Amino acid sequence: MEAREAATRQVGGDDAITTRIGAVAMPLGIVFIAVSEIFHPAKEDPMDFPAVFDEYAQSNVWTTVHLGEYFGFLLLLGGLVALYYSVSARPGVGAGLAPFGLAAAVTTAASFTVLQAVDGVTLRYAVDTWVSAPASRKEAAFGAAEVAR
Amino acid sequence: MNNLSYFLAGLTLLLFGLAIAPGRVYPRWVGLMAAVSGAAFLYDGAVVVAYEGFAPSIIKVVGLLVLSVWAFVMVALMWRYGNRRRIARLGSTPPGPAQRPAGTR
Repeated sequence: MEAREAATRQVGGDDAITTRIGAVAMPLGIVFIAVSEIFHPAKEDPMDFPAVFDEYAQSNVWTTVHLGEYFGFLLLLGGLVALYYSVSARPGVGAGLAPFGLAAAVTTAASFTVLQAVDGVTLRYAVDTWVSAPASRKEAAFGAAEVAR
Repeated sequence: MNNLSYFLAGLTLLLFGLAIAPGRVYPRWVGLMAAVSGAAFLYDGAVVVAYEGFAPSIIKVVGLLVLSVWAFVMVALMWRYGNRRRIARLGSTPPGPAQRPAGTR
């Protein structure tokens, strides 16, 4: 059994240290996400686009909030990557499923990168453009903000 | 984009939950917690956000709460696993040059 466990150990690294880094990263990620959510503008109904775009345009911390959320998600997903090494250490069904979890974690991190770039940066520019647009361009600017949303 | 991201986050948690659930490294209930949280996110991303938009969802709240508790439970379990692994490694370290018999020089 020990020989099989040794064969699944992290190549060229220390899975004990990786696991402990993951143990710290996961709750830290939850804290980052929770604190960011506190500062996220949320007074208006999120489906009432004109009201919610106006609220977003007035926010001074919009991009910072989304960077905080993004960092939190990366820490959480980093923790799951670390978890992979301990779950796959012992042969069995769990070790067989763990690589798919690892692949999904990396894909999710990529998806959140795009989400936070669109939500935290693109949408911010779009709602700012809509708020400051002259009446003749208001409709087009609103449509662009809706797409980013 | 939101629905895809939450769907993928749910899928990831569900897969890790199912990987932990056989209970060979961590307790079975910890895997079930991750699987429940993952299923909630999966449903929220694939159904609620995709078809109803940013509507208030009790399922998402349940998913977030279970995920938060799970992440803090995993701190203790993963830390303990790391310590056990380190102790096991130190125990299997081969003897160093200082313990070599003098006659082999």
